[in-house]
Amino acid sequence: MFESFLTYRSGRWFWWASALSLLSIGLYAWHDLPDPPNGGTWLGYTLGTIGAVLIVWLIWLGRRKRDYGSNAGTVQGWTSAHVYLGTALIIIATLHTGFQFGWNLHTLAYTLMMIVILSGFFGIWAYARYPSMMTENTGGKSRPELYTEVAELDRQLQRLAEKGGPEVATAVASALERTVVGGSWLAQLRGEDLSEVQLPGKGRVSNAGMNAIVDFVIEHLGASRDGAQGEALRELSTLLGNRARLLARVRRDVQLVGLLRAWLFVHVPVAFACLAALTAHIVSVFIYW
Amino acid sequence: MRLLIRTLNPAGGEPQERAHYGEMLTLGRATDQGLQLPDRHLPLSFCELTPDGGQLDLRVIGEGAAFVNGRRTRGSKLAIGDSVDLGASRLTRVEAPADFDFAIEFRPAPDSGEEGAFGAQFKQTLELGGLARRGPSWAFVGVILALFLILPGTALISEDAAEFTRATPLPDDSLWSSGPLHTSHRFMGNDCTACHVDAFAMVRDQECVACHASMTHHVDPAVHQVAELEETRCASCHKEHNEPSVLVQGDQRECASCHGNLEAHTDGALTLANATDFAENHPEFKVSLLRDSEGMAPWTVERVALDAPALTETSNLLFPHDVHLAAEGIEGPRGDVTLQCADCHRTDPSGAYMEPISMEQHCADCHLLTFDPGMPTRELPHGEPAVLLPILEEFYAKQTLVGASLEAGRPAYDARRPGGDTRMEAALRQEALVFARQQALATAEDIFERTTCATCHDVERLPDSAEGPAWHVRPVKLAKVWMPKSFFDHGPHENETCTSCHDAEQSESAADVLMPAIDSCRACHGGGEEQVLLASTCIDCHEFHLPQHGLMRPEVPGSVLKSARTDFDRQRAAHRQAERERGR
Repeated sequence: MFESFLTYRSGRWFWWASALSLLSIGLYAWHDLPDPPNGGTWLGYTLGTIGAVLIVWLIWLGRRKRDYGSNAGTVQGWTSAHVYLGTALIIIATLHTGFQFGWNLHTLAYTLMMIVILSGFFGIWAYARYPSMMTENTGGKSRPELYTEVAELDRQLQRLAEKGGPEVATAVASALERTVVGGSWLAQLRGEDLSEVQLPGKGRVSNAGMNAIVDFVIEHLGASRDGAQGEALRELSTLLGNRARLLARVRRDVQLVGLLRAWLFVHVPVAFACLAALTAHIVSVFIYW
Repeated sequence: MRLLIRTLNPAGGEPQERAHYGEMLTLGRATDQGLQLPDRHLPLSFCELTPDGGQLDLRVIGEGAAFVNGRRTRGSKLAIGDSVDLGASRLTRVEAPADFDFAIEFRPAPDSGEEGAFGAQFKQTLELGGLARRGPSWAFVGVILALFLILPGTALISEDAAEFTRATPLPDDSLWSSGPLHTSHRFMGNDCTACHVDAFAMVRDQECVACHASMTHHVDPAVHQVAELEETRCASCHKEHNEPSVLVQGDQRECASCHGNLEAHTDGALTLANATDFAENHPEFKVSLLRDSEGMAPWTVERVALDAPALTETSNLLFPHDVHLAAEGIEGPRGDVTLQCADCHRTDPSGAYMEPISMEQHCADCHLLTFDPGMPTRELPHGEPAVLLPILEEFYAKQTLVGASLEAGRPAYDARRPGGDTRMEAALRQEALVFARQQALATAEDIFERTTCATCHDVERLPDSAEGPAWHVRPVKLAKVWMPKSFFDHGPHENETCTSCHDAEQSESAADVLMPAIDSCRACHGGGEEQVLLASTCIDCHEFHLPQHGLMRPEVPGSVLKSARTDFDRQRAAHRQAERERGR
């Protein structure tokens, strides 16, 4: 049976991270120095060293998960440790600051670290939420399968469109040609439909949800006196509706996959920013010791 | 079973082969599966392959179904050549090579970018939609290192760069400051290198003593060397850049680390009693008593504990506090007066210590230095017997010679007798002087041994010499500071009554030491960890840098801060000048 990284080996890393956090809190509460708590006391240096090693190791996960030949533990174990020890880092790093914050490099490093950790939390939440929504949305079908269905519909639409008259055929061809799925990252995350259609007399207009082309076909249907043409147009409008629903699912799939992965585009670059700030932090405090 | 898995590379290239040993092969999207299916549309745990005789048994355990040779199924036996579609992935059973029971060929689902001709035209991934991880990561690293490490770091390389970055909105090394300076150090502005002279080296003492030149030592290094005190940097105790700013540590554990066992730390060189906490472990106070060495030698100081059995002061003054403080008053020359402590004991302008007591200021109002009951307005000066005796003789000589008001029986000579010699006859003059000297000696004996002087002074009659009798007044010396090893400020204690600490109302003798013992202080002051009383640590009463012990750190010429401070002094002088001119 599948074992989530959160419950990997009965939450082994949860307990390690909890122990580390509680130990840090305990030491912080127990240690009693003449100066206000700060990163330069013996405990400050200890927590700072643990925190720095953790940050480097946490970032190393990105390397490790691509290293398929590695024998250094399973990727799942690493992910589990990554999540729990990363969470413990909130406590360790905060205690390292001694709750002294300011407009300086040191607090910048801390802030970047917190952004990374919080974006990671969002990632866990996303992985708990979106996959089931994706399965529900596509009914278990893969995206290529959906596209195969779209392609099948498009073949039928093209055949029918020819029966609907030259104007309709041109408009339908334009609608198929100017169908857009996805787009910019923002459009993907918003699930926007940027499709357009070139219609006679109207120029190029938005065809979101296939509405413009369906309206156009129905207009022609109302004006049609030819029984066979009318039948074709009726069927055409039905199939266009089907295509709209199908593409809506694809767009929703694109949106959900995007939402599932969006956090990584914050998590990873800011992690590297944090690593750079951490380096500058460590170097600078010892330059001006 | 021994199963060979050959994974085809969808982008072309060599297939990868690996062996799988186990009772079964699990397949699914999760990472813990025997064969991971990289397809988001499949369940985490999808299906299992188990050996069944010479056949492979496929069983779907998750949601959905597999397609064996295009036929939908949730369980099927696989023969060689059978292929199974698991979502967009395909698995084909192939002939097993030697050493293997089974072999499968696995074609993973194409990446979502490869959707076929129709789907391929769209930007369906965030990467294609303009997001990236690698580029921004490198950009962040570059920007942060440049802005927060390299640019501020130029201050280390050249002073011009330091001044330039500090004067412009460019990031400078103040970004490295972990917290504000103590207000007393803010004059240095953002000149980090004023104190942080050498990179990767702790702040040196010479930068501190550039300003704090008079900082004295805690011990006398000539008497005993204390390694901890010689090796400790100023900044080990006086820490900057903290919030809240605590430049002077009130923590007494540092003190107690040595003073808890002084003998061990000084190899027996010190005889000071150990102390670790005012409430828990502190010896009885000692007072510095002045001892008259009876002779010309200067007064010596003796340190005596307040609980010592022979605790007496030897000021050589006769003074009963109880009589002076009597509630019903004390007889004075102008009637009874009721005295308060403050009539004699007043604090100095700082409010901390008491002004010294003087005869002229505090006693002479009542203690008139009269000597002749017949002349109650005449007073002697306050001085030595050797000075007073001639004054008395002169006084009585004049009285005898003028005579008019002298008592009956004394010879009286009229200096202006008509027809007579205007000058007194020699014999008569001699007689008058003898009489005057007798009178003076009688008065001296009275005031030195019974009245005026003897009221307050311990006067000794010396053996008679050829010049007649003589007296010696034992010199008086009152302690100015009774407890010089600590400091005490009367100011904050002004709401206490004097007698709540100094038991003067009961004191019959000036030999009583009226300094309060430690228990008197402990009524209000607790130790360092006190929760109820006023928590008091060592440095509330004792200084660390003791003035008598010489400089703690000798000044090193050429300190960077010295010039920075000079600059500051110059700026300050210019500022004041400008203020003055504006005022004018």
